[in-house]
Amino acid sequence: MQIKALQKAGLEAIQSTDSIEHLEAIRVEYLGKKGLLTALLKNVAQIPPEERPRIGADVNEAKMSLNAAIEAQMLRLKEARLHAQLAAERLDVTLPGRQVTLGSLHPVTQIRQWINDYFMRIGFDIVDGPEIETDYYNFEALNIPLTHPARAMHDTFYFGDGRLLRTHTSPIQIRAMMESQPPYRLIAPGRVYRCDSDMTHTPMFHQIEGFCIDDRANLANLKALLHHLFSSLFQQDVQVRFRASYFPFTEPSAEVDIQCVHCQGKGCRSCQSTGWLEVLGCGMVHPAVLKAVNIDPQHHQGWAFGMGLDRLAMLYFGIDDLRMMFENDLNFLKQF
Amino acid sequence: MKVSEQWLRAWCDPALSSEDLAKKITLGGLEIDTVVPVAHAFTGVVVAHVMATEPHPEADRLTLCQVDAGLSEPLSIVCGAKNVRPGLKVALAMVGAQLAPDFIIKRARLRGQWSEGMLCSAEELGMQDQAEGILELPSSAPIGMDVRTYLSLNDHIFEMSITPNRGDCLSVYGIARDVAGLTGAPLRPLDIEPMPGVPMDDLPCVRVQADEACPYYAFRVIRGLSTTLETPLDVVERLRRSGLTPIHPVVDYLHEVMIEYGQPMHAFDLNLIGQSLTLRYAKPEETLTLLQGQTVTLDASTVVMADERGPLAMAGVMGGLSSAVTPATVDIFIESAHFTPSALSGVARRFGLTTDASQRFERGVDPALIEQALTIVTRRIVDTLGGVPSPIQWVTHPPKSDATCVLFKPERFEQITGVPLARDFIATSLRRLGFVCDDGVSPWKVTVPSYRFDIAYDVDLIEEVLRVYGYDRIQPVLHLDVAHPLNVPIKRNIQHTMQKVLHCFQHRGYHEAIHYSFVDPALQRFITQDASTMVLLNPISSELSEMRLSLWPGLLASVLYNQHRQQTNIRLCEIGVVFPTTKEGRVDEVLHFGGIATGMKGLFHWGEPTSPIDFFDVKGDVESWFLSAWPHQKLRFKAAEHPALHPGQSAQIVLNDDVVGWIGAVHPACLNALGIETSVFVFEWKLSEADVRTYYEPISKYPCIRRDLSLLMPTALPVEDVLTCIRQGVEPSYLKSLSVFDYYLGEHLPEGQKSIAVTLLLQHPDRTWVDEDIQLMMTTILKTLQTELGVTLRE
Repeated sequence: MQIKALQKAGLEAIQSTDSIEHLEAIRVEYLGKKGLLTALLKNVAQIPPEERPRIGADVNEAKMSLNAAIEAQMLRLKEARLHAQLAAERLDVTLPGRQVTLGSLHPVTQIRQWINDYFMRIGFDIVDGPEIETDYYNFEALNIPLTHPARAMHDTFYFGDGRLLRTHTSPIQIRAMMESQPPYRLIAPGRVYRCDSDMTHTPMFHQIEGFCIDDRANLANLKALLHHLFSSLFQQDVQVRFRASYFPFTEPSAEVDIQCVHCQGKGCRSCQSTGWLEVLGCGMVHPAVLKAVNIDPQHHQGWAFGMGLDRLAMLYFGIDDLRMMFENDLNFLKQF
Repeated sequence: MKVSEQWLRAWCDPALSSEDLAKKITLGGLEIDTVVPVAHAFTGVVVAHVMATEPHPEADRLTLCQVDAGLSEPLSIVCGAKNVRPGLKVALAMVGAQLAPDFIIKRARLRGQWSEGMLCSAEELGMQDQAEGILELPSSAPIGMDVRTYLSLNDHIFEMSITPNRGDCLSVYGIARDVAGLTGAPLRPLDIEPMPGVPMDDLPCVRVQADEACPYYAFRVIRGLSTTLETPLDVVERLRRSGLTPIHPVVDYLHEVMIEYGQPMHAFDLNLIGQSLTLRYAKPEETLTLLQGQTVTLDASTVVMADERGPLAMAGVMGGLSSAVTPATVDIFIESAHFTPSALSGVARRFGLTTDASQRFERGVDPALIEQALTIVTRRIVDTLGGVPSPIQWVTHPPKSDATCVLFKPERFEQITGVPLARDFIATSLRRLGFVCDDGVSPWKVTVPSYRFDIAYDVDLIEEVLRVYGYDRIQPVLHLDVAHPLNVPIKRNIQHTMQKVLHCFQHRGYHEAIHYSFVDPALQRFITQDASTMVLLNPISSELSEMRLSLWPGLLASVLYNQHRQQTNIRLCEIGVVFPTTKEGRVDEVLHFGGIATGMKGLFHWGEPTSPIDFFDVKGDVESWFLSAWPHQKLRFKAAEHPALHPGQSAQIVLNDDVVGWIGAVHPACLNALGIETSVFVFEWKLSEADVRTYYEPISKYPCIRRDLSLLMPTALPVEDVLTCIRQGVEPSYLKSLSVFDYYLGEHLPEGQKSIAVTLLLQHPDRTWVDEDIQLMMTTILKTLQTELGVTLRE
């Protein structure tokens, strides 16, 4: 009956332990090479032969039952240990992560990039030109001779040697046309300067010039393109309205209004209740400008536009104070 | 330019509401910015006569008035204005009158006295922004008449921006003529009653010397004007609605005719000018005191009217004070002339003078107006002030015919605009705008009216027809030929690199800033002591007068600006052109990228401490860009001194042996001068196109061996020299990476030594390393390090 007693004591020990290490010790104590049950078998010589099979079977049964109990208990204990580990490793996942603080791109840059991408997708190239210009490229070649009253429209910054800061991106048109032959499909973004500083003017601002010259590009084409451009930018159907206007370097010339994107043309503060926002000037490139760059206006024609990027960025992002644009206040920049 | 709608409609009255008329005119190219009513929408205000006044018994400042408003009984009115007096004609708001939505006049007791209405000021009626006292009406005003009717107040002022090409529209008549063309409504004909005048033999003698500036000149004198009469109210009102204040009846009539027809004229007091007048260029240093009191020093490009004693007026701009008409003037000399736009160009800029006259002459005035305007104004002056006019005296008369003729192919209209129009419509439109159109020939011969100075090309005519048709009616036609001209390869553009560098720094925590390209010269001196740049002649202010040579002045100013607004962690970057000049005066416009950083490191976390940004944070930012933009080029940082930078924390950025830029800590002296109290790090380089094209290298299948070397080196020796030496000792295709994992400077090291520890990862492209290979390599490297640089293995 020694076997049964051992088996019972073993099972009790197994049940009562709560440590994997102790359980291992119990396994060694009972089932190891020098374990208690193993020891019983070593005494087999002293057992009458007729009892040996029964005792052998009893020991085996005891071993199996202890083994099974140990395996079952081991499973329970490992599970409990995993649970304990998981509980201990619990995080407050709502604490902030380890971020690298991100910077931002200036709203003008974002709009410029959008417009650049738009025009590149429809097959335009980007060109640029100097910011310090000569009178010839900024005025003369654009059909604005010295005595032209339109010079008053441009409050020009001058240098002592007669050079000036370009007042618009249009001189890039002239330079581009002098460098190669038509057809042209080009845009030219850049900084421009006018000697004017108040609530609605900064002495430096950004324009983008676009022009397309081939043998048949006309005003109706430009209108369609601008409608597509603004509808794509604002992701809504944006109506475009042409108004007769005047620029010395285009004829016919037009101011372009878009339907107010804030009130859909119903009239609001942004559009001063008119339902329209003035966004750019454009027209058909003047024959005098084409002649200045040795292009025959009888065989080539095309349109050009010049658009203020700062104003467009303000519209797009809902910025209502122009002066914020170049103050570089972090509270402003961080918003974009 | 301000234009009274009523006045405009007196010439051309299309069947359109005020709003629709304004829209039509705006779409036609004469932009109307605002439409403002000339008075509030008041009711119940009538002309009344103050019969008697007496002081209010209880209040010093109030007056009791007996007022005749055309009713059976006079009304008792209490008035607080100082200018109320018996005999005055006034605007009376009767009981029940409404002056504003919530302002209705009631019978009221003022300090115990009943007032049956209120005498109104121009301000209360919305006719002026500010007014002293009550409105005084002419003695001829009919008692009891509605003031709105009497003063024609159902009118709007159109505030217009006339583009420089449309000098012909700087007049009410000119705009009406265009409106007639745009709408098809009839234009009232110019019926000018002749005013022949009486021959006189003692007229001044006028000579025109500056005939290219003044090709046509006429004048007449009027003698014996009344000095007691005032400008009639309707003229005063018209002037007011045009933005002019009454000055003197003669001047007011000249102004009225100028506003109505567009011809500026000038009147001199005949008795204050000499007998021999010359229109000539000013002599150097001649001075003239102008009407508004300013004394100007003239130059040889200024045209003046002068008598024997000197200049009397700046021709086409403004008269002089000494010869101006005064309340005592009885005889006048009226000049009506044509000054060419080039004669006036630059006057505004040189003298800071823009007048109604100069603005018109600058844009071109119809020579036909010289005689018409002089005739009309003489009639008006004589009818009101009396006097006897002389006949018009012509010094130079405009030629009879000198009309511009433009050849026009009507099919060009559709070519240019994309709008198909019938030829009849095109011809009719041109005629409606005053062109004489001979469409019986090919190409058409189109004669330009004398008042249009802006028509020379067929496209000018196309614009005119399009204005009549309506720009807003252009139907969009989507069309592009082959998108890109395929005979020209598409060029790579710097815009791509600009975008890439901005994104790189944005992701490293920098905010893109945009600064003006002109900076404060004082700030610029801190940064670049000897370089020269372009200086503006006419800057907005002296702080914005010099073209920048570096992006740092702007970035430093923005750090200061933001620190003043409680920002402590500031990282800004910018892309922009800088403008260095060479000794020969040539300007190089160089595209730069730069940045600035101050405050704490970019990583903020509750679990870890942070520390202030140091040189190596910023250097890491810079390295990230160069390694991503030029992965296969050689980048080096060479210790060097820069006037704006800390001498021990500054380096040149060297790409393939070219110094492209600088990085460093801003010099403490510079920070001190700016009032910045934190360490600030800056960098800047010339931005050139990134070259990210990579050539594939086969990947070795053989194991990689790692060797660490702990080295002792002289304190003054740059670590980079050691790294270069190690690189040179290994076949480049074997060395997968070389990195510094420890650096120590301090105690427990031999005198004058510092230590570094580096890791080499070595891999052979086509076999497994054997120990001897590595051993040999290490031995060679160590030997070279020792002999060339005095660097030894640390035991």
